[in-house]
Amino acid sequence: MKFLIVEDEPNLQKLISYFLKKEDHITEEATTFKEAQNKLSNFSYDCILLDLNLPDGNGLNLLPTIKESHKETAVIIVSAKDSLDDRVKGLDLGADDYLIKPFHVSELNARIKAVIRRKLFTTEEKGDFGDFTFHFEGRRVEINGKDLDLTKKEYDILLYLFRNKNRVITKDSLAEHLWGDYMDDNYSFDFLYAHLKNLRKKLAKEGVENYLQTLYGVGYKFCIPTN
Amino acid sequence: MTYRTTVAIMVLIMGYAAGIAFITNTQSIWIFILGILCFFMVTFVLWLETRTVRWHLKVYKRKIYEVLRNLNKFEDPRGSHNASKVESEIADFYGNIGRQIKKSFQIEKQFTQNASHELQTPITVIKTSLESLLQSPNLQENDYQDIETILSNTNKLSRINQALVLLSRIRSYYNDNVESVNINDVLLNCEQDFEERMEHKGITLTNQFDQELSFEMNRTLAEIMVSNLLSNAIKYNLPDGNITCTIKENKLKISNPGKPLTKNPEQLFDRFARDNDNPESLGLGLSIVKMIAEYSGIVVDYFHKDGLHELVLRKK
Repeated sequence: MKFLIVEDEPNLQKLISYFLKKEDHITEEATTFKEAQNKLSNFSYDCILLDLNLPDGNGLNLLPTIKESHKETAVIIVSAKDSLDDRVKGLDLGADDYLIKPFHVSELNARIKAVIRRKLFTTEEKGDFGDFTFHFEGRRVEINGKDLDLTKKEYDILLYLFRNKNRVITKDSLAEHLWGDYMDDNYSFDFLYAHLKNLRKKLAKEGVENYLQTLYGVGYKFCIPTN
Repeated sequence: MTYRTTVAIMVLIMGYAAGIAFITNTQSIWIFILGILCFFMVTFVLWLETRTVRWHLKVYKRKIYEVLRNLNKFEDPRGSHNASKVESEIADFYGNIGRQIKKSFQIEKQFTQNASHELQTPITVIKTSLESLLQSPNLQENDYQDIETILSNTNKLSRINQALVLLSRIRSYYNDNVESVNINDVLLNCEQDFEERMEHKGITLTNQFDQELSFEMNRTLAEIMVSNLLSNAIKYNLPDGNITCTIKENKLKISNPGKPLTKNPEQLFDRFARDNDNPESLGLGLSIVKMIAEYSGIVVDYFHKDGLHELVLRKK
């Protein structure tokens, strides 16, 4: 997959592109509105990560061009929460998703995967991972062909873990993914732990609880157990 | 008329009385009567003076309130009409205050905006780098603990920043898209969002709606205001407690049982005024509520009675 990262902050741009390259994607970068415009008129991309506050213009103005000449391109706006309306405006102009800074990489990763799935691989209906099979349309999970009875939140947690498989995801990013950023205290973790405890019980029943590793209070990792 | 004119008149009358007394060689009783007359006259003139000054003060007080309500459109009161000396002195005085308020307001606004905006990117960089560092296969247990400490503090920093951004936005947004917002609907939607949280804490919710209540305000801000109040009612509730939302007599009341505050209720709405029992709280939720309310012509009151925390919203 080929990405265009439109971001004027060099550190952040490097980090995003480092992360995407590790996920085996190709990335190109633009730091200004002009540069982004030039790149868009000469090349095509599968996905564009678009910052709105560029030194020489508002990234929103790139959206009509993108939608006109790159219909297949997925656009995720990545921007500071500067305006209550930008989100609505961006989505109206055809962006596929909107991520507010500061964000978690795991969240960006999950959004990219969801957007790409919607945009490009609409035929992808299920995902396999070890003993797990995810049925995205029906929002259910099978373990070795046996249906796992999950609540809505438990499915969301498992899906987020699946989209970030083999990576450590922090509990903050998981809590924020599930409840948004209004969960503003430690209380949200109690809540998360309660859901995870139930989920773990259900996984243990099927003998697959060791897919879900806990890492010293930092976060979780969803991976195929080695032993 | 000024104070000086009054004194001049008084001296004149006294002089006149003394002159008459000297020329006609009359009894001193006349001088006494003239003195009394003079005293009443001076009092009358001074009374008139105070009244005019008071009236001017009222006018400019109103202007200052206007300035405070709408800082962006402040106009200098000087030169607005043909002013007398007193008037223009008062106008000068209030004009200075107005200009100073406006200046500090702008400096504060700019600072909050710049600071919060400029902080967002570095915070994202720290978060992203830490998450990337977490993927390293060579980390030891204590490394994870260090990363967790940095991460949770960065997240706190980021939440404070987001709340400050919101606080600075309220002033810019309260005037946009003002509509009649049905508070019953906003509350019901909010309750739906928090359903799971309440269930988790074993909190029962009761609604008592005697009427439809609406406020003239920006819808997004109304949602933030109600959601903050409800979130607090959950946060500071007792285990297996309850929340009662009442709408009657043009008021919205949200009440829940909870421990009495450890601090002065008057400080409840101050920024960063958190309760000692809850060090994790940022102490910005209620100041956001208060600010939205103030800008939207709503009054928020807090009461604690019979072990219940009560927050009441009503039109000003």
